[in-house]
Amino acid sequence: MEIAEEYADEETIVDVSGRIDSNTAKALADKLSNLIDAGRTRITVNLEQVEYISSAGFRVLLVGSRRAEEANGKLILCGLSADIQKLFDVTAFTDLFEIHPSRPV
Amino acid sequence: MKRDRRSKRITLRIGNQIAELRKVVEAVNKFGADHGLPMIVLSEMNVALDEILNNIITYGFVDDKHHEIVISLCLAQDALTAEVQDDGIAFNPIEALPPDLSGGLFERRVGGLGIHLIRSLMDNMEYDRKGGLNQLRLRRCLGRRE
Repeated sequence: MEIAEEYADEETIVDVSGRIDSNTAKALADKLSNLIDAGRTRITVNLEQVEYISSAGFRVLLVGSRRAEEANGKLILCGLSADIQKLFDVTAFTDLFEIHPSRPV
Repeated sequence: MKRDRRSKRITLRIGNQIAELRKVVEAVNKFGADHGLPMIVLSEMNVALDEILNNIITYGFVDDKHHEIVISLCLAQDALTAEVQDDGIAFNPIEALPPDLSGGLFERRVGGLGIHLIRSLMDNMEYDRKGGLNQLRLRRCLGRRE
């Protein structure tokens, strides 16, 4: 998994690529945690280049979203491919997030 | 007729550490590439294996010793099968209760989600306990949803 980030005023876009699984989820958790601790609580996680997400990854998104909201921010997801959308549907995570079709420019 | 010399069965052994799971992903992807399997089949098998192996490594062992987990991948005409064998405490994932998928952002629990994902993504799951070993077989049909 690789993570890149881009800042646009108060918004932070986190571009994730590869696999979000047991082995890699902690790196994403640390990234989201560091952003929120630094006051960057308006985060869009772009999943366009993600191959798959296991429950370890879903846990990280859930915790990240809770922490962002607690800090009066928001964690938004975007760029879900059909395969990733299926995993969100199976886990009933679709309704828990604000999901945008594409990445903010 | 051209004979396929690539083995339709591979076996790998990993230690009971999360970092070892990378080897499993690499093996699944290499096996899939060798046999031209669709990406969705490999992704779903990778998710299922990540879930069960994470469970085994995190909860399966009551001592601090090194344990070996054996994973075999087998390709038949109509399905990709993974067999996972470990000497941890007996755990039959088929008997696991379904998770509670209700509740909003702050109510949702993630416990049980892994087994639920395996059940949803795989076509068949079989469990056996023999000679102190957990033996789990996961089967993902080919050509069904692709």
